Amino acid sequence: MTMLRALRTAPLGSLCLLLAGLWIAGGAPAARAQEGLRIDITRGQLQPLPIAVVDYYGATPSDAGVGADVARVVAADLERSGLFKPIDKRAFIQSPDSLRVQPRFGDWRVINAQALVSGAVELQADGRLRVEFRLWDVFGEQQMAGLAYYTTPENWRRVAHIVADAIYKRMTGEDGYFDSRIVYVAESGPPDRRVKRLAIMDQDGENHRFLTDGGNLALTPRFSPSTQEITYLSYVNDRPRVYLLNIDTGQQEVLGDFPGMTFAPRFSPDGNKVIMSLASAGNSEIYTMDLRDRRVARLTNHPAIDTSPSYSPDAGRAVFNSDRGGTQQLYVMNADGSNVQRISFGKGRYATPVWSPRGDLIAFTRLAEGKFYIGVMRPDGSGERLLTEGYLVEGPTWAPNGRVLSFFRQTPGDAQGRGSTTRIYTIDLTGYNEREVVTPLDASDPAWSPLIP
Amino acid sequence: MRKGAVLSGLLHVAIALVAIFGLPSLFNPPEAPQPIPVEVVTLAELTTPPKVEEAPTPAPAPPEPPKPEPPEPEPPKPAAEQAPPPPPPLPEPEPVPLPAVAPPEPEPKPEPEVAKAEPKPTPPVKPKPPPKPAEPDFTSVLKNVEKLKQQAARQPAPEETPKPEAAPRSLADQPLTMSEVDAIRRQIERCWNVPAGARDAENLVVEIRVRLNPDGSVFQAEILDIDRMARDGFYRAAAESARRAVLQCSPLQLPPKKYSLWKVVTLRFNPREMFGT
Repeated sequence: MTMLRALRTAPLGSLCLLLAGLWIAGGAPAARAQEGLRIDITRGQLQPLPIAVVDYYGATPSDAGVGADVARVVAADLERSGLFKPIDKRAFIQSPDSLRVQPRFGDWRVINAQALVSGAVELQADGRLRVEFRLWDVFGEQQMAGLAYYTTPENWRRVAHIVADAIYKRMTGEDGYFDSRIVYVAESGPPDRRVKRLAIMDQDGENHRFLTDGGNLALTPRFSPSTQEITYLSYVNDRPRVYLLNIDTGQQEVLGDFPGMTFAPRFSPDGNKVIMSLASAGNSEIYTMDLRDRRVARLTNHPAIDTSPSYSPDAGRAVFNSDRGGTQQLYVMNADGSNVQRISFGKGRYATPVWSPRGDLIAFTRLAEGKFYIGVMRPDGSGERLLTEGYLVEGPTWAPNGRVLSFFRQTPGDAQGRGSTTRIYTIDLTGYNEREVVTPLDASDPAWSPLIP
Repeated sequence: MRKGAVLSGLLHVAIALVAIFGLPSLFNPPEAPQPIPVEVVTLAELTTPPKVEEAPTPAPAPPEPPKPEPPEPEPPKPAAEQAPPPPPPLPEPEPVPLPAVAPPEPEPKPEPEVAKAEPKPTPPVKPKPPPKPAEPDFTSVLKNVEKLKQQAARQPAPEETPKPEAAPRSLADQPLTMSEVDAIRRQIERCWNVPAGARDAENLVVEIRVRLNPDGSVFQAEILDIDRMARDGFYRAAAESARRAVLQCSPLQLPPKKYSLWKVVTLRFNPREMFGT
């Protein structure tokens, strides 16, 4: 009895001790009296930030029209990021005209705007378009950013993306990604005679155009992280051939025929090299090729199948997948092929790893129990998270700021494959903001460009 | 002989004494000592104590009656004081070149000179945000399809087990009652937008010193780590979002009688808990 009671009082005693300890550790209240109360805020909301994007002011009707267009594109970019919630224009109290002088912050607080974007558009005498914007902190009542740009009038959409990037960067601390493009494979025709050609569009789906005519199948485009160049795989006479295509000039060259290749090479971060897997005698290994002298070097040498490599942004390491452990899993090695380490240990198979341009994560496709997932993990294999799942989701590619992924999703059709659709989506790292990128045809294999220089 | 009798007598007396006082406890378990009255208090009860509102606040300073003399009279001109907006026209001299276009020359803007005439009263204007429906219970602000599906199949992946976040309240040095502090915390948490998705977002811990007026409205919200503000864009964004939360929450609902206790509050915004990993 007594023993029991003694035991029972013990934790109480230690609890008291603990409390006393906390009290002391928390700082003698008297000592911090002048600092006052300290409170830890450990939970918050995951709400997009309410932002008011006012139509940019234009003195003439045509300027005002452009101003409204720019504001619309800026607001749409911010909204798609999932981090901002543009407020309905009809709620605005202060007019764009009077905003040019100074915001009446009270008017914006009333409608709950936390940030305010105003601007002006003016066609200059020399035919150039001048677009300026200001970003205001409504509660802090000060200007957070203000910039002006000159461009040709038909370039207004790009300026809008650049403005949205500037706002995004100021508000999040992170580089934006709106002024970027996505190359993908546009698919059409019946399943047995599928036409696959390359197409390019702005990251929001605008300015869509085709890059190849569809005469040969085009597959797995890969964007250079530093130049506006892509590699892609094309079947010519049933042999996979790798092309290097400059998006801006349209100039194209053949890197070579590579029997057994299934993924196009990926670029090194500086764009001077590519890394790829090549098969010979039924075994596939990782190689690099220097684009300047076309010299090829082998990195792995293992009887298992090693494939789909991707460089880290510092070019010091590469991730690839291999079945050397029995199932197809992810491995990381040094850029010279040394120090190979397995990083994925989940059930099922892992494929198409891509190292984030930010360096902190590796995205991958995972196939487990008949389902596909897009996921991310740290380069040491910790912190694996599966962001989305589906009948078929595949081919992740990073936005230039490493905060958003694009991938494609196929929904099943009937037994003949009719009614099946394939579409491109974007998803941010929280996993809660998944959006379709609207394309005219079926779309697969997206490749996100770096920011346009 | 005599000696023996005395000895024997003493012995008998001793035995009798032992029998009287000792025996009961020799054969029965000793009577339990009087139980020391100890209240068993669980942590949960601690954080939401009964309404001991008035007296026993463990305050170092005696809870003075609400001195109607705040440090500054009520409508100070914070506008004039904290917003002498020197925002340099171009904080970021980002050239933002548009290729194939005329050079963009980010031109400095004249700051619109405007008579900042109206001395703004501290923002009492803002209506309180509508009460949000019960906040969703995130285990993490980062989604994980797998976790959502509660797949029992745990992998040997390192530290995959999500901690059953037990919301460790900091019990430190709160002169107000825990429930009052909790109330403040809840108000701020409703206004705070967590910077999810930023790199190492869980390490962006921001301290804001808030000076309050007696009516609970925010007189000043000051980011403490100015150095890091200047050199770390992520931190600046996180710090500004924390400051916005404070300003947006103004006025805070606080017990007016204890104004001296919450005149100055240091809020520590720490999102670590919200990231399950």
